[in-house]
Parts: sequence; C-alpha cells; structure tokens
Amino acid sequence: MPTLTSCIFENSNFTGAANCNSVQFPANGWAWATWTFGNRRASLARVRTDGEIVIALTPVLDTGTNRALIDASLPDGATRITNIRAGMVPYSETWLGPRQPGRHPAWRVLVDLSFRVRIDLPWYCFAPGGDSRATIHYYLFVRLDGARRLVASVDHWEWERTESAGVCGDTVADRLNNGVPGGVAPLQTALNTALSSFSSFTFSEIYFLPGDGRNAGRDDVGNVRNEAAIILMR
Amino acid sequence: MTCSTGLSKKFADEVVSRMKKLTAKYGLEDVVVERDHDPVVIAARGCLKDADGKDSKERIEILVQLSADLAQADKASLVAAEVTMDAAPEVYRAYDLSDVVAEETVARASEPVDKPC
Repeated sequence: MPTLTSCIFENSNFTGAANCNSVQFPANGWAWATWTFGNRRASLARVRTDGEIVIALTPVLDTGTNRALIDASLPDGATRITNIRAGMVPYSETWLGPRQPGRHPAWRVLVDLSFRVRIDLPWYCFAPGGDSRATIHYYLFVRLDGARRLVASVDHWEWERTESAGVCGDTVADRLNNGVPGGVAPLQTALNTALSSFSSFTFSEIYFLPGDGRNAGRDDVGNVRNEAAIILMR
Repeated sequence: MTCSTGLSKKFADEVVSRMKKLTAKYGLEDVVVERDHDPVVIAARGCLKDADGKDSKERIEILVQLSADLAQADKASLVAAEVTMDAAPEVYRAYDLSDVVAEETVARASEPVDKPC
C-alpha cells in the first residue's frame, strides 16, 4: 500500500516548527490526516514509494569525527556548546538569499548545518557573564549532478551573534570572520568521504522532509532548520 | 579606520601615552592597550595607590575607546560569505520548493456564497 506523508509548517515559507504524519492508504483510495492547525501556515503532502533511501541528517552529520573537525576549526576563545544540528532551509531565508539572488533560486532547499558557540571575552569588554554567544551556519548544497549521482558542497557560511559582547562586538566579528571560513575545507573533505559510498549509485529524485523522514506515524519537529531528512529515489 | 593616520593617529597616540603614565602614577597594574584595534581600547583596573605607593583600598575601573564610529562595533552581528563553487555545477536535480508551490499563494479562502447584507 502506498503511504502519504502530510506535513504542516509554522511559517508560510516552510520554516519554523513542523508536524508530519504518515499514513498508508489503499491504491486508488483516499488518504487523510487530521490536524489542529493552530498557528501553522503551510502544508506539503508527498506520496511515498517503496525503495526510497531516507537519510536523517542530524544523526549522519552529528558524529564524533565531525564534532572534532568543527572544534578544531573554531577561532581562539570560542567553544562549541551544542551538538551539530542539520536541517532544511530555503535559500531565500539565508543571509545571502536576498543579497545574492542569482546564486540559487529563492526556493532551493539547502542543508543548514549549525551549532552554537560561546566566545570568551576579556574583562574590559564588560560583556555580561564575560562572554558572548553566536550561532554558526554552514549551508550545504546537496543535489544530483549531471550523472545523477549524489553530491554536496559547502555553499556559504554565516554567523549571528545572539548575545551582547559588551563593547567588543568588533572583536567578536573579527574572530568569527577569521575563523569560520577555516571550517569549510575540512567539512567539504568530510562530505566527500561520506558521499563516496554513494558514488556507484544513480538516483532519479531527491527531496527533503522535516524530522527524520519516517514513513509511519507522527513526527513533531521543533525547528526544521535543526532536523530534516533527505530522501533519495532510484 | 584604526586611528592610524593623520591627526587621529597623533591624537590616539597621545591619549595612549597619557593613559599609560596616569595608570603608572596611580599604580594600576591591570592595564590593557589595544592600539591596532578599531576601536582603539585602553582599559585599566585595580586599587589606586598614593604617591608613596601605598594601597588606598579604593578600586577603580576605566575604559577608553577611540574610533571614527564607535557604533560600528556592534553592527556586525550577522555576516556571511559565499564559498567559491565550481562554475555552474551541472545539476540534474536539486530540491526546489518552487516545484510544489505556485508562484502566487494558492490556498486562499473562497468568498462565502451567501454574503450577509
């Protein structure tokens, strides 16, 4: 029996929280999911097929090896304080999206690999708690290349400081601007290694779903930018 | 701009020099000078000492910043940079939500058939 996955999103641009429900239905019959929509503003529905390869992104990317890789690339005085999160985001919602509209179509979905860091600051910055916090994003462009093979590249990076740095906002900016790019090359190498096991396969379709991409039952996702899955079809 | 040229350099150099003498005169030991930064930062803290070098038990903290635009230090809170990609990568399929979402919002509430007068 085919399966319908129905997802509703908090925001009309398919970001924010999401809820998905997957139900089997008879061929040529009805499938339905009932929701209390509340504050949800967009929905997607997808008929799932047998033989899909579902790759939940966070478990694949949040590994000890990748954490060590990220930690080694952090600027001086910065410490990672969360695990690595990996989800989906349309290009239009990234920093570059509205500023470089020609780089990707606005609705192209990228993988948002992110984590938060604490940045220790000297006393004369007078930052509350003696430190500041920031979220660092590496955006991955995952697609099927001309030969229908799965490839991925680090497309761009972004950081946002989320707490006061006292009088040292510029210091924090310098450290992050000098340090974050250093994670690109090692991350790309890690991606290439991870994808090498797919190199002998070709696929016809690739798409994203919030959460872990399950095809049965309910999946509630706090933020699709932190949890998403890639689905590959042969 | 780091107060590194022209009159602003002379001004900054003089402020740094005078602050160093002042903190030395009053025996402040925790002194920081970031001369090549923007803003230039001179900070000091500690217990003031009298002319005989005796600890007065009076604590002081001082911070001086010099810049052409002090507000700029807090502006850079969101920055991004593209990574050089291979020119025009050959893409067979990438997932675009535009494939499933019409350009105009599709789901609009329809007008009720019987409008109240």
